[in-house]
Amino acid sequence: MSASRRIEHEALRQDLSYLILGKRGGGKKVRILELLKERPYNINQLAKELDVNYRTAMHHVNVLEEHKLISRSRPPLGKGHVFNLKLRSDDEQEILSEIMSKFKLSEKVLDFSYSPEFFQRVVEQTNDAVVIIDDRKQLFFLNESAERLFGLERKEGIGNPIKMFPEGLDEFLDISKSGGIVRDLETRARHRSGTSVDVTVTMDPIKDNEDKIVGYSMIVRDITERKQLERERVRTERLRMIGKLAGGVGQELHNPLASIKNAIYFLRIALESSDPEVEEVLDILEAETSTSEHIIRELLDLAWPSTRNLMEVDIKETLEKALSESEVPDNIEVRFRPEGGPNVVISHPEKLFIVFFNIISNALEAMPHGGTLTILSRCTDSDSVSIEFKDTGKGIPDEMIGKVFDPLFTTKAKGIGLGLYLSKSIIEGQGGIIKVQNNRKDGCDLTITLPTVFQGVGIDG
Amino acid sequence: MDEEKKKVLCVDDNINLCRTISLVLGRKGFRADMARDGEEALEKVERENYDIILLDIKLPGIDGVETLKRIRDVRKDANVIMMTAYAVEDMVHEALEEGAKGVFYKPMDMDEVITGIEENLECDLSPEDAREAFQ
Repeated sequence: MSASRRIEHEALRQDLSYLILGKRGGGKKVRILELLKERPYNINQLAKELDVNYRTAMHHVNVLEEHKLISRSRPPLGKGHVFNLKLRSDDEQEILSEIMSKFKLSEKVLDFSYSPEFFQRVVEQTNDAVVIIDDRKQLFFLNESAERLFGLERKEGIGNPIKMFPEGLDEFLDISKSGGIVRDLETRARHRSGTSVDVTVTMDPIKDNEDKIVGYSMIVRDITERKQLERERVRTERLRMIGKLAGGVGQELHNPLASIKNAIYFLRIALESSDPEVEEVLDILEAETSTSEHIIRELLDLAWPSTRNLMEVDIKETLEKALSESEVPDNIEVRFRPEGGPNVVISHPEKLFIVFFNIISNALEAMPHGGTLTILSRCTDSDSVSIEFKDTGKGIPDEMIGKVFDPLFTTKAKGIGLGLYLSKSIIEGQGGIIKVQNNRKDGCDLTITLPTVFQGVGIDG
Repeated sequence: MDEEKKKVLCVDDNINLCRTISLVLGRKGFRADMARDGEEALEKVERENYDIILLDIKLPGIDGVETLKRIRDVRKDANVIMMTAYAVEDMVHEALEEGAKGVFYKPMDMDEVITGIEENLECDLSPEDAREAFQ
């Protein structure tokens, strides 16, 4: 087909679409075109076939003629004009058939769309909960999604006062009653089982013919997933900010710490032959300054992980060192079971030591009345090593288990809650995984999986 | 007698830090002087030939690296050791390129500072050797 032909066809298609699908009276025009396909007709004959008056038939014929879809001719014997279909080529006929069948389909949909059944289906099939209450707050209707969301069957719910509805319903009703808009307001809805879900509510009054409010429709949308993502994002952002703040504060403290250290150094020289109490105080100053320095270094490690000093680290050796430096009380038995195999990873030896030391200290402190700490390490496959710490302590309360790796989280009287946060940062910083869970009997299990090859990112300026 | 003492200039906007370093160095037999910023340091360097200059990297006004360049414009063979409280590896690297003899990370150990100064004074280290000695 030539390009100009194709353009003509497209123009015809648009013309027909506009005439038949886009305007009122499309059905009459389709019928005229169908009749003229068979033979020529005059206006009177067409009016009769279409069951309309002469003027209406004339109007449709004029429009079709204007669009050059039909043409008139004077028959040799007749008085008035007769009209013929102007489309001649098969292609053109095909386009007409296509548009006419589209029209018939749309007519069907239109017929259906005005039926109560159609509206019912639309409401039933929507994913949002649709709830209609009357003006006395009694349930009038709820769709399938609403049944699921509230855990309610409509046969038991309808006609009864609503119980499980979104918090703040009265407030929404007041707004709606006074002409205000309740749109996508966030609240919580209760499921029959007692759990509650994050939802948004859109409420509109339903009015009768006299404009009197007879009830309210509510669209309740479950936004649990979105809220969860949002909370996760806020949490990540908060942790990032804490890291940044910690790093910034840590650096700022270097100057005052340096002055304090120098001052102590100076006093040691100046008070050389002073009494032992002065010496003791200087020792305390020095020890506490060095503790502060240590804490700051940990904070900075969090904020700026480094890829410097990466080397092969023997997990077994590092665990042994961490154990030997931990003060294990007499009433706690330690079972250390490293399995064969190399158990070597590429990492920072001192950082892994901190991790193991922190975890062992926590486990020991979780068993004030004694117990057993079991440490297992093994190569899970060729490219990762798994280390498990199991204690027989009191475990972690369920509501807190999700927070143990958060910074500044602690259940201990001593410590600022950086140990596990730091450990998680270090492990994840090298592409590893750290998980904690209460074990079935007592105490908790902490598992670390480390890739044997360093997979972290560091900042080394 | 003061003339025989080695002269150290400590440049830091943290005046307490500057003062405590000077006090310690004073007790260790140096003649210590202080400057709060790059401009004051340059004025002093123009007037006097210091044996060692301890120079903070982050300074108000002209920063430590720029001050180092200008000091070396005045005195080509100046012995400058940088100090920093911050993770500013780029600036540290640039300072070493510009001829700084080393860098002390705050809070530094005064024993190490004194050793560093003495080593620098004893042998005329090339910048490469000095860098080696400090790392």
